Amino acid sequence: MANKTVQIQPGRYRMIIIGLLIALAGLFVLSFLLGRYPIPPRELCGILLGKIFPIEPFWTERMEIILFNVRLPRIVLAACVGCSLAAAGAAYQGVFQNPMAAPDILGATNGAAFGAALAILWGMSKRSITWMGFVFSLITVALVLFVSYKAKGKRILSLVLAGIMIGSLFSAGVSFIKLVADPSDQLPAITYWLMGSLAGVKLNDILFAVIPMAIGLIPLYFLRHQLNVLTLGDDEAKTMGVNVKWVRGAVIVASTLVTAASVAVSGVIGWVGLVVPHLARRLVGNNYRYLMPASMLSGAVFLLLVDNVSRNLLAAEIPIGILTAFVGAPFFIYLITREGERY
Amino acid sequence: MTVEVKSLTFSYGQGNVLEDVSFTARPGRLLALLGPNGVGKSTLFRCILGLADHYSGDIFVEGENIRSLTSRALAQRIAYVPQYHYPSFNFSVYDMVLMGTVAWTGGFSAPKRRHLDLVDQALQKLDIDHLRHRGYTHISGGERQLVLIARALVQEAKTLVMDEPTANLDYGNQLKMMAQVKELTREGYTVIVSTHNPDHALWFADDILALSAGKVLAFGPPAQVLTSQLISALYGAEVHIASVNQGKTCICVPELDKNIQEGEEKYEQM
Repeated sequence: MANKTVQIQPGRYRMIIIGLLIALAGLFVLSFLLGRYPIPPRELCGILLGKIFPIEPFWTERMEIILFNVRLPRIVLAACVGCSLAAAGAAYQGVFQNPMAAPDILGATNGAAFGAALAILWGMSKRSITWMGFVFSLITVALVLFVSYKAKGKRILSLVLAGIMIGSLFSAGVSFIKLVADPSDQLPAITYWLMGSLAGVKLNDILFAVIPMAIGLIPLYFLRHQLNVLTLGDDEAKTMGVNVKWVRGAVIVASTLVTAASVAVSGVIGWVGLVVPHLARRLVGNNYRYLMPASMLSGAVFLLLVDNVSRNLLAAEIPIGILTAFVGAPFFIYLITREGERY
Repeated sequence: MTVEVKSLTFSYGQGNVLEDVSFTARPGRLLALLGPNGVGKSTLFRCILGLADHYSGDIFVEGENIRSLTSRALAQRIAYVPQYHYPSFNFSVYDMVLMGTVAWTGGFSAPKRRHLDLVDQALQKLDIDHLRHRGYTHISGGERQLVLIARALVQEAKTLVMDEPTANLDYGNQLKMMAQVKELTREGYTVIVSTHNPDHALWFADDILALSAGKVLAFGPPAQVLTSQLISALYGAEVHIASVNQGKTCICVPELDKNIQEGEEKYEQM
């Protein structure tokens, strides 16, 4: 293994990116066709083209409604959430110099869960539940940043510790809300939300999520060269001319934004942010120049794939959070035990 | 670039780690920093590299006070070569060296053609071009140290600060490493190297800065300042500085009898 090359050639990288794009596009189309209510390929083309060209409808109105109001939001969001969680996971792994970091390391997920549970307890609308999840996720990370700012000692360690502490505070809060929630309707709603699901997402959920995701993903993409240097540690990065505070701050804010937006619309979907970046590391190596785009695309492909399984495998829908854990954990074990690793 | 340290005093709260340290490192001269463990060598480096700023006194790089420089501007003037390490992620040698250009590419942009050429040159210069696709954690310690030097060269700073570049290297690699460092000095770099080996200072250094308990014990060319008294004062070891090879080379010869005797006496006292 000592002689193994870990440098990816530009040609190979291009092939991988193109391959992922093709896989994403293919899955995108396939996802429209799959579902409880079948939409045949001919009708699918008709409906889509009918939006641009005046075609006499040969499909049912129900098909069109399902396509645009049910399937489209779900497919788009699955891809966006997967992309966001994977990008945030990869970014956090770099910032914290820790391959085991995931998007919930600063408590973003626990905070969102608390906000959503609170909203359910107060009987708020679905819209408000999403908003509460998003806002509480941001509040939690802001708290973590504040506490770690006050803490003495190593910045990264205090960030991680503050993340664990504040995160478990909020998760205790969720437990308490579950305790006092009405067991006939609120408790199941909270439990279901915590499992994570893209079922029932609407068109306006896309609008809600896509803006913070874009605001976060763009800096994550462009800061990837500096992120490389940050993985070497604060002092070394600083002597190489990286403004460590600024870059880490920007990466944390961007990652939090995309994580919060993802969790708010989809609930708790674990493993994606940990497993997908590692899969991408196998594909393209550890250089964030290649790793970040590869993680983003793999995340989108992965979650879209799993979401299709989640809504088509059984007669009843399986919450996607359960599936990502079922798929993610064994897959991760496979990755770390496989020979010829790229680490 | 000339690095001028003027009456630098630093404390972590109780007692001064550095006290009134002044010296000048000049282009084309290799400055060796000698001193026992915990004497403030690392702190001195941290001050010069802009990692510690609550010191009194001033540090100038080519006449500019480093307090007034951003970390990016400082990185364009002073490059740091740490001891080789084990990063969390295994980057290829090429990528590791390429990271040195970040002080110039900055912000959001990718390295340009010019930066890639710099990497190629540095890899060839240090004779590690054949390792470019290998993983940084898969190569030997000596090779890793060379990679870090290559990275510093790519950073295009004219001052190199090296933290014990020979640490953990075998005898042959130590000599090769020091010869390489000397070669860089000849090319006009200002080089500050910390070392635990007085022989390296004798053989390669143009100037020696000896630190003891945070104070400058001696500063000047090795022939003048590196005496058996200095070694004794620094390390508490009795040595004799011998001239070998028709007077061309000086070497520290430990007076083993004395050292062993002293050690035994100390042992008995305990």
